[in-house]
Amino acid sequence: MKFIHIADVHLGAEPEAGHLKREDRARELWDTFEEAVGLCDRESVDLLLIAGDLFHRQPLVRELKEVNYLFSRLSHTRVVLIAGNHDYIRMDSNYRTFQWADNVYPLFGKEMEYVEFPDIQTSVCGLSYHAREIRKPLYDGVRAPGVQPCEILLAHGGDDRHIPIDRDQLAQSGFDYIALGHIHKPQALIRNRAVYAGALEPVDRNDTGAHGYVYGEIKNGEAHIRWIPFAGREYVHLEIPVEKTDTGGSIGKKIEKSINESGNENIYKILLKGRRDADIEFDTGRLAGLGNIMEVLDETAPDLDLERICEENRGTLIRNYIERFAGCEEGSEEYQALCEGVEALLASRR
Amino acid sequence: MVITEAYIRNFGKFSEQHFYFHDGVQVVTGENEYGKTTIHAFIRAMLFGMERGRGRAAAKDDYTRYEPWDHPEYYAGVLRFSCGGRNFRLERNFSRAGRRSSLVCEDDGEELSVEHGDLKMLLGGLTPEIFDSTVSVGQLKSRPGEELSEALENYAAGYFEAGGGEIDPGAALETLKNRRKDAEKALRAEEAKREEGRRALLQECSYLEREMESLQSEFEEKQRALEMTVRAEQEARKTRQERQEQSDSQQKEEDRDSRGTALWGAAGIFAGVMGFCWSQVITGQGEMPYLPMAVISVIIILIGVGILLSALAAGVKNRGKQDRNFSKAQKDGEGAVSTEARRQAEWELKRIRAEWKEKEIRLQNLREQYGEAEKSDTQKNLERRCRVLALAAQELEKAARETGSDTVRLVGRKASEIFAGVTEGKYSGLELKSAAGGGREIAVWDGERKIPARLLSRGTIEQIYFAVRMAAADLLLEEPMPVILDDTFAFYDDRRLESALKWLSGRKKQVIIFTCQRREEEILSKKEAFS
Repeated sequence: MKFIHIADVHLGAEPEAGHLKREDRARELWDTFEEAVGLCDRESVDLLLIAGDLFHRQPLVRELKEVNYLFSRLSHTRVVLIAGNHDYIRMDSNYRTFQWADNVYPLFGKEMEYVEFPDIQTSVCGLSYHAREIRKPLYDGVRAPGVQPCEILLAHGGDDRHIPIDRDQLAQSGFDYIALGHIHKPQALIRNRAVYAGALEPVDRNDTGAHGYVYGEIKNGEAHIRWIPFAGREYVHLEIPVEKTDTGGSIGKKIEKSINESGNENIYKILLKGRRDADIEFDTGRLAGLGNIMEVLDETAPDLDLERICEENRGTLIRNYIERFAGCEEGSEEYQALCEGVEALLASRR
Repeated sequence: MVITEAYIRNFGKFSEQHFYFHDGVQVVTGENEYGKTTIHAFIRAMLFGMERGRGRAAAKDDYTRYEPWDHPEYYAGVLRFSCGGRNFRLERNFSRAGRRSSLVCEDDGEELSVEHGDLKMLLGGLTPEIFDSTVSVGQLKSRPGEELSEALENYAAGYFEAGGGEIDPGAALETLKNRRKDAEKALRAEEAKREEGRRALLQECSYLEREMESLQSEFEEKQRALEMTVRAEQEARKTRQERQEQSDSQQKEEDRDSRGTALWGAAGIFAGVMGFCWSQVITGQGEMPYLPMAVISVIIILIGVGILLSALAAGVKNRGKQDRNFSKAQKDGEGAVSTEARRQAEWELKRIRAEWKEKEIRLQNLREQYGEAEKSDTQKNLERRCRVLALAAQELEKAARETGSDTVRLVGRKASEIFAGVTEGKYSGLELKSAAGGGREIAVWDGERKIPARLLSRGTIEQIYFAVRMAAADLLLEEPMPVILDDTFAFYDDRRLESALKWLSGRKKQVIIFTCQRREEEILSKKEAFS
């Protein structure tokens, strides 16, 4: 039995995308999803498992129709999906009334339910969110129904406000594979058995790193899975070390080089860190034009030898000023205030 | 520290010249242009080094001023001094090519390193800034257009708030405020940029709302229309039923009428036939039939037939009318055509409702998105920067107040003492207080009145300046440093000069007085005779 497990597709989201228009990025989420569905057909997998948050918000009928059309074209694959906290089944949710294609099996109940596929000797269990938040650990104590040789759980959540998940409880549940959703960073809760596929495409500026899906096969009651990167772009937080000798120009060169190394298609947030020459100020707006950059944050501190300044200005205002900030950590707001004040005082020397 | 010898190898107008000094008060007298200020500058350059300025400033700086004309590559000197009971020899070469310095303890020959801060240790925290603002005293200089008392007050303001070091706290505060203004401006620009994006959301929301409203009214209209047809129909059915009933009874009447007519017809025919027969009977009795009688009978028969026919026709017509009424009722009421129309109307309503719901969900989604729109990191950073700059300004003000009140208190007390000594008790105190328009006002107290500095003579102002500097030097320096007075006493009268010199020698520290007058020397030798 072969399956593809995706999660957190967040169709309808309009993530920030640097110079890219948000609408275009929204389109990319659809494109990648379409490709993933197409892949199911090419690989003739038996099941496409969607572990919640297929939509970013309440799905519109036209969106459901688009999705259903893609599903309906699958010649071999059957689709099982649950609703997550983003597309939860509200009273007026279109999920309640939508007529799906024959090969689509939504598990939209509030309580645990399952669907059986005797031909592939598989059952899939799951429940859906009917509220934005569920603080009860609904997956604790859940057991595989024991109706088919191969049993899968579709689950969504894993933080305090979204069905807290206890790893040990899951380990005892008896499922051959647990397809998890909600956490956007791909990761295994239990190796080869309980896995977060992660978001199919990164949908938030903080969804850094690679994104994709899980390709799996269950043979003789054992799951063998591979995580496959599939997203078109990554969000990259790039830290650029700044030294005393750097200028706006040299930093620009460094940024360009790093972006070329990490991929031009990616969306960047640039962090300037370190000590800069006290006379230099970086034009972050200009630096942001050097690639697909959402923003450039200058977190450098001026290179001031505070000890020396203190020593040279015994009993003076500068020294008193520095002493007011005694013990503040480098990089804190206090430290920044210290540097700003000292710079201003030094500049005021007649 | 006591400077014992300044050996100028090549510096300004001097070359290969030795100047010897001793502890206590001493006077270097020389006429104008003798080079007193050069010696002063040489001592400063030896203690703190001297570098060539950059750019245009270089043309006027000390380095260029004292660079020897003849042998610029040989721009050097030696300073010997004792400090903490040990004797040192400091040698420097200022020339561009051969810049170097060495520091040797003459007692044990230990080599110390200027680069590694050994000299700084010996100077005990004396920096060029503090040197300039305390122990190295020239005449108080006012800027063009500035009253001397103002110059004094400015010096005091800067001095008291900044604690020396030539720092201008007001200017620093201004810088911080301007930077904060810039940051706030950038923040507003960023917010406006983000708001632009959000405005597009709001706009779509209001479009949707409008569309939903029109769908709503369309729906209501259609629903009303449907209700009206339904009601109209019901009413129509009711009236039809009534009419039906009415027409049924009418029909009966009409039937009765036609039946009557028919009866009349039949009776007529019967009468005619009877008349004809009777005429035949009469004719049969005679030879000639009675013609008129027969004709009349035939006419009667024809009339009877006519009446009968018309009665029958009326009956048939009435029945046809009834049939037509029925089919019409069927068409309007539960007839097939009418149901189809209603279904269509209902389907239309359903479509509008679905469309409305789709828009409603989209609207809710958009509102959610609008509510979620979080601050960008740039925004957060700028907010942080505003907070940072506000904090910096706030702390700077506090530090200035603290430094000011500390130094004012300490220096003020000390300066009052010195000033009272120099003026031989004519003025018992100095008062420094914040002026209404910022800065500080200086006033002196003569035991009866408070006299603002601007009303004092140049000499007295110079004495206040001297008192403040000496007080600051005492308070700021851990190690007693030689005081260098460069033509400081030019405006003092003899009595005040004597008092000042008395105060200085009472300090039992090294004082080097550069002057172009003989007065100091004379008073000192007289004083030595006194003591």
